[in-house]
Amino acid sequence: MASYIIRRFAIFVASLFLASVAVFWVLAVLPGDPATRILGTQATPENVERLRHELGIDRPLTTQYADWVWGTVTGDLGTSYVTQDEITPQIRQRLKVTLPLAIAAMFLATAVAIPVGVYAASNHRQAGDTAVSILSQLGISIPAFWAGLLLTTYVAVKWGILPAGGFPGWGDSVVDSLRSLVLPAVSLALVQGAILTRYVRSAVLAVMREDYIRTARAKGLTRRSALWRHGLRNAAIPVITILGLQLAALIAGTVVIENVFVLPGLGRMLVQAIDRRDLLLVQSTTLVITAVILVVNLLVDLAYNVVDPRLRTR
Amino acid sequence: MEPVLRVRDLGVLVGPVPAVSGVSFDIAASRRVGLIGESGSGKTLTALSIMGLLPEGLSAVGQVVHDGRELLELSEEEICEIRGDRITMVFQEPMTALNPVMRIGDQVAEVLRIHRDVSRSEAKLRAMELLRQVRLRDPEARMRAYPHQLSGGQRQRVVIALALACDPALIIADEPTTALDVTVQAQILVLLRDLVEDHGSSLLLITHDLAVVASVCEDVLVMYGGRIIESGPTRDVFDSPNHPYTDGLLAAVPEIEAGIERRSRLATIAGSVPGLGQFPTGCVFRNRCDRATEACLTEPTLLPEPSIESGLSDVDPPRRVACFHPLDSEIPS
Amino acid sequence: MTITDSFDLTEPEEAPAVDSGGERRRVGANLIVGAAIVLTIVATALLSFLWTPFDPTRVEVPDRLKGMGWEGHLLGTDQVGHDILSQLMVGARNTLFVGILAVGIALVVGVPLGGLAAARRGWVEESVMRLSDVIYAFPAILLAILLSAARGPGISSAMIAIGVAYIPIVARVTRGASLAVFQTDYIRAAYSYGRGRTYVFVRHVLPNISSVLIVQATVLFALAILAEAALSYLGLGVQPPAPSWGGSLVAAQTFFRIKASLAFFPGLAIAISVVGFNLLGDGIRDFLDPKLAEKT
Repeated sequence: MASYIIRRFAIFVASLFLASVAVFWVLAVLPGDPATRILGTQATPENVERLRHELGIDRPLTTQYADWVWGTVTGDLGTSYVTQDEITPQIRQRLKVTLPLAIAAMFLATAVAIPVGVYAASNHRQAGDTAVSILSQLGISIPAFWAGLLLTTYVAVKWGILPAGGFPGWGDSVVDSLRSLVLPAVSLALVQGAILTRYVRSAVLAVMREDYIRTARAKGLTRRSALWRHGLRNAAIPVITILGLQLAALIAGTVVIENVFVLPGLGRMLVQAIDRRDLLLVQSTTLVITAVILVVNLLVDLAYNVVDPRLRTR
Repeated sequence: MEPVLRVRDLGVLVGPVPAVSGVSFDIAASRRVGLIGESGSGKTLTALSIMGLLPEGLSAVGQVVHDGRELLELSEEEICEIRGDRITMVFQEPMTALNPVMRIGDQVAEVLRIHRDVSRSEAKLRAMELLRQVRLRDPEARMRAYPHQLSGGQRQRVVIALALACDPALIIADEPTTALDVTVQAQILVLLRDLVEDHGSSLLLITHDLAVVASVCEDVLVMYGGRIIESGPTRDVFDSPNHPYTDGLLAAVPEIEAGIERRSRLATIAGSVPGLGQFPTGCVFRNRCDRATEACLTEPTLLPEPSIESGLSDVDPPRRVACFHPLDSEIPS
Repeated sequence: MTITDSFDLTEPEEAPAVDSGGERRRVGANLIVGAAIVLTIVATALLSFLWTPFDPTRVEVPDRLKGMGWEGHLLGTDQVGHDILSQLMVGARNTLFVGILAVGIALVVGVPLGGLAAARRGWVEESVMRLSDVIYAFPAILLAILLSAARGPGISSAMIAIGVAYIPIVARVTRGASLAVFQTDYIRAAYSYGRGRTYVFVRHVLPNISSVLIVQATVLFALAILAEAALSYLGLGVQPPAPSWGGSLVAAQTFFRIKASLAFFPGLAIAISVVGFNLLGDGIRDFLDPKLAEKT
């Protein structure tokens, strides 16, 4: 088990390294010259050269990369070429919106998906199951931002129950901040919940067919007890895996939802950065997001290996 | 004295199609009965319907009486009281029979805690005792192990321990050794037979292997096409079978005399077992029988009818056969 | 073993309670409805090259924000007077285009990668799978953002981003399905004749796993539609004024106080297409190999 942890962690580090190289390469090699972009095409070559030197982009690529990575490790993600603001505090600020949103959505989705999925599996081939199948099929087919738009139109605008957008800030009003996260989280959770429900249902159905459930019933457990006491722990294994993988999708989702609801999160910052061609900001923010996803994958892997005893003895 | 199990006219329907029909037999207390048949003969379905564990889409009709109660009419709660306690089952596939994420000890203790009012520690002690009875080495370590750490034979021993835990009146074992290595098979069978005797339970052993029945079971029921076509004490039936099918089965077993195989052609029964819904009208064996006549277009019943006195454990049951031209009668012209 | 190892990304379905054993190919409701929807969309997109009810790019400001059925505009007009139906028809073109190319990229790169991993095993397999895990850590939208920042936003950035994001899924599914086939005896026989691994893969393994891949492709197509819509909505995909379903929803957002229904039709178009492809995938799977449901 210990050797597995070490190996897995090594893979994590290697993956992070690879990802950072990829992000750096895409943004260093492909686009045009940031200095020209900032100064405009009329700028004199000397000014361009001077700005390039100031920004540090006249150095060899490997040096730039090394500097950037070193800065990341020490907490300094650079300074934006465009706005001259430091990037790290911006990211930190925005994370305070994006992370709670993602967690809330995940929580909502899971809280709905598990009972509904189990219910559907228990009522297999009956009306309840069919209804869940149809609803979840719809849920995975609608774009989350469309759900967000519709929710905004009705719940926020027409009925005025919840805010249509904006975010007051945790410092200003915790309650209002929470309120502005409700509709975005629900929009995300609708889609994620539908996906999760389908997987929970499949996992439970698969488990229900297993021989050890029959053994449990032969011991004298009712169908329901057999499922609860024996089935769920086994069904949890694939469900945990999916939860972890869903997080990447969820983060992608927050990028869009933040734009629907005008939330000052990472996603919104990223999209605005593209307009301004703020490459370093995009670079560092992308790395941060990827790192979060890789960390979650790592944690889920470790959890998964702990939950399933068949994997523990390695 | 009441038999432990009284089955009358049991039928199992797969949707509208009968896979098993007209099955009637008694199992006396402390008696070991073998249920023999090829695959597709309906033996497993018979066993599952006694336990109330038929899969979705299948239904059972008829009477299955235990301890004065009609099992097929019980509610789920009621039959759950009997399952695991009075009537228990050992399944064919030991590799998948146990919950992979639960320790062995917990799984064995569970059956005790379902049916008996015992504390956790008492159940644990008893579980360890059971593991010892099924001759697992180092039961303490086994208690804390997970199923994947045990071999097939060991897992089957655990399943047997589960089946014995509450001193059941009847253990149904469905091909308990088929999925095991040949060397392990004999051990498990001997174990099963001994423990059943020790606990005073009855055994319904389902198998396709005649040798197993010969060595373990006092009585035998022969099944074909979803019906019981012959039954009686094992030795009598095997020495002088009455039904042409039984005769064919016995002739098809290669005889090994003193380790030397008899070098003659194995007898075969012409044709093959009919699939579900393809049973011929009348006697199910009609198409493959060289004694069939027109009379066989009507379905023969198992005669003589099982009667009430057959509940005593030390009395051999009478011989029965479902055939118009059994082997102890004249050959039809 | 990592989570992506164990995770088969196709949607598992249940097996029949009693194994009917039948090998008959059933054309189920899924297949019919799914195919109907997909064909309708394809037909609409193709039709849009020849004819649309109105010129979708014609701006007719006095006619803005009219309701359904007004003067021949079946679905009404948007905030600058475009006919919504015509916009949706042309938008279908872009949606399908991005979908085809994105899924194409994913297949063209993912299938050989997965096949390579399954054929070679050992450290080749390990590295390919870890590499695909790294790619998988980048959601499609993130990749699109990256590419858009580098090359500028546009439909090609969207396509490449979505395609690359799905490569790991295809690679993993291919590897999983190929592994089983590679172990069969007749594959070993083919090797013994002196056939190389590539030949064996193309001639023997691919046809056997094609049903899995086809189903996976439809699932990915459905996901690509959703991804493209999101990207267009963010302004990173199809660039305005080219019509796109996601882009139409941006307009809807600004004007929903005035006309809430603007948001309705583009979103509906997206949802129906996704449902269509999902049903098509389910239907194809049931048709080609009902037991496939058990394998996944």
